[in-house]
Amino acid sequence: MLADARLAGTPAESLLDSLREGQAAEIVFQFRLYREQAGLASLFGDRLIREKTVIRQGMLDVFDRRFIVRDDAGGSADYRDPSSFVQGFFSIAGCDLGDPDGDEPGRLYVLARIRYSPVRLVPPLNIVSLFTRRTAVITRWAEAELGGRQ
Amino acid sequence: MKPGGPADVEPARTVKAPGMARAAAATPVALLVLVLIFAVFITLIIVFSQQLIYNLSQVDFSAHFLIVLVAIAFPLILLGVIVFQITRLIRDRARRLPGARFKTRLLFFFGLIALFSSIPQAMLSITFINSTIDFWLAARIGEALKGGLEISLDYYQDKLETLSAFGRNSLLPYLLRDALQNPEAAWKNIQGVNARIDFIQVFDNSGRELLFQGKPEGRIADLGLIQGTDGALASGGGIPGGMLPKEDREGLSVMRYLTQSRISGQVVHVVSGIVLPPSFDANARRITESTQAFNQLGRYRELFRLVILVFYFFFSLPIFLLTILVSFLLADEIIQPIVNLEEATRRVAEGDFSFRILARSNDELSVLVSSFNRMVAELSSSRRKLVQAEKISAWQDIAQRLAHEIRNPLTPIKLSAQRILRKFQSNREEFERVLEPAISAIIQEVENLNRLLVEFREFARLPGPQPEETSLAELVAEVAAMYSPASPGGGTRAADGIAADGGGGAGEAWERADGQAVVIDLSHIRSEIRLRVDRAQMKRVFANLFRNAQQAMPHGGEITVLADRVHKGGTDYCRIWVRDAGEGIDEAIRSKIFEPYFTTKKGGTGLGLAIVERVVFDHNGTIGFETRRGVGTTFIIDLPMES
Repeated sequence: MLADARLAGTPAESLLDSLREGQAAEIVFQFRLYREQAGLASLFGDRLIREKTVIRQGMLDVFDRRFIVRDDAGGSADYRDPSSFVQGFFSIAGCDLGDPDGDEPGRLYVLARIRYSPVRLVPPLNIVSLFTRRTAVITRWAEAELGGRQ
Repeated sequence: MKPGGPADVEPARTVKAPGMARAAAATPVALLVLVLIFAVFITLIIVFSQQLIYNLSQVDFSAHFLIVLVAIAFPLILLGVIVFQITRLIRDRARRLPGARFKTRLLFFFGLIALFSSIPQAMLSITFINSTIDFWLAARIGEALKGGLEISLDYYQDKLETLSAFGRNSLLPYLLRDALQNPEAAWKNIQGVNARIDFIQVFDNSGRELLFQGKPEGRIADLGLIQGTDGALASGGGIPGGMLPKEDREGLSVMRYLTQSRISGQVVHVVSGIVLPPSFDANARRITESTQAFNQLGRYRELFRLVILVFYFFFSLPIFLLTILVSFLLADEIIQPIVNLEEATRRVAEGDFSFRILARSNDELSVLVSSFNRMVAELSSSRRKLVQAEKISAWQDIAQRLAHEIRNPLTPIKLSAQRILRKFQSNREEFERVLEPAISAIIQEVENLNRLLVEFREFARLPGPQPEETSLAELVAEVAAMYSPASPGGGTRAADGIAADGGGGAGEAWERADGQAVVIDLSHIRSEIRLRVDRAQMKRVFANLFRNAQQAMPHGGEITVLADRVHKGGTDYCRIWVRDAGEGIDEAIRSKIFEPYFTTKKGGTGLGLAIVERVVFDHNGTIGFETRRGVGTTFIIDLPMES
């Protein structure tokens, strides 16, 4: 099961300005795959089948004047064109959530949210993120229904 | 029986000081819990610093809220416990529980010490953090970082321009014309033209390497660097040539320039390049990251300062509160044995010798407690022996007195009986004359014996008091009325507002049979004094005192009764003085006047003052007397206002 996500409505200029100032930006995609529970079990909420988090950092290589996107799995991508970089940084495609057992009863759905920090704070400065929302944008959980045997 | 021996051991009872005993019993458990809480707290700090600060991205977003919640809730819980303890201490102080004041002082000093140690630490930490931030934000640091970055960029730009100029050089086909036949000579020519070029690599259209000369680190191992999307080199969708992306590999940075040329009529792809020094990439990264951190610090400087302060208090405040909480437990640990000793001492002073204090540890205080317990055991044993000896002595005394009192009438009874018998046997004429007086004497002595036994029995069976609220002035006046002019031997001077029964006017005196007057003055009793006493028993007290006073003044005189309120040992008492103007009491018998069966009067039972003392004692009061030879005697009674 593959999931796509994109952060919309965020001005690209804030990202590019931050990188041109020599900062790194960070975006975290968080996916949760749930199966709806029925009967008494529903009192305890739906069952979390799988959770996946992808962390990406965007930066500008001042020597080569190219934008770089690196993820926590070790992958990276280079962009000369800012608009391509913005597109690649704010969206994720084909994030593998595994294959849930299709024979189990209950509706499957995915919750996703994104946290975007135009400036990725370095330790120990990142401690300020606990006390202010100025350093990051966190979306609400968005739900996408996948269907499944009822 | 040896003191402290098995027969002397009574069931030990632990002293219970309300409020504090519970706390002291729970002290070891509470200390253990506090140590565990402290360990958890330290773990939280470590997890926080390791997992959160250095790897914040990996933490679930909701964990931020949880961490802040724990950081706020933990001190709040501790604060709540401390407030509860302080409230309890205030309540204990208000109830004047033993040890509460000492505990307050101990806690005050514990808190003061904790505060004195925390304040310099806090000031030092905050000053250090501020000075560190200011140091790292100093203009020279920023300029140094900026300068370092500019130097790196200039260096890189210079290499870039050198490489671009070489790659675009029109002499390149000429330099490479015999390269395939004689690569060393071609490389020598290239080095002659530009010695800063580190390597050259030539490929044909299919990507086959035709030539490589120079530093081996520059050799392309992955053709993907120069291949187009169709896999061909520089033709038909391939990379058109120019600067290739800098390759960073195993600590090395390699710059390459791709160009097309012709060697012996064949189109070839020439990659010329420069290998940057091994430290260049790492140094450049360090400078970039430092500049990044420097800029961030400048941007969030004030917020960071504030957050550090908040976190300092998040971590230091609970430790301070824990210290206070431990102080409470330690104070209980220290005070409880002292409180137990105080309580036990009081109980022993009240006559309860069965109290023992349980020692819970092996410290110096437990040695003191053991010594105290031994002392109480020995005291108890000695006291029992003394009481036993006193009982035996008292019984011996009573037996002697009873024998004496009973023998006195037996002699005249015996003599009268013998006289009757003798006259009956020898002189029948005189028999009838002697019979009646002799029988009368026998009956009189038997009646005396009977009266003696009745009084003994009444003293032994004196019932407990049945208190009722009564006016003292009225009660005394009722007793004094028995000594009114209507009665032989008395007169009264009434208390203010009280009419003495019997109609005795103020200052009116009763003429005794011998012509001497006795006056009872009640005018000094305050009419508003009301007591809860057994009226009948208390009347008997005053009757006995008045009779004694009357007998102490054989030539007449005045009996004065006074009463007032006094405050003694935290309790309100009514103090009553009964004063006569007799000869006073001999010093030799002063210590015996309250003893049962002690009397100096012929025909007296010696129970009058014993009954007075017993009744006053049963009303939780005290009695004493002052006497001076030739001046008179005053009996002083204290009765609690709330009996």
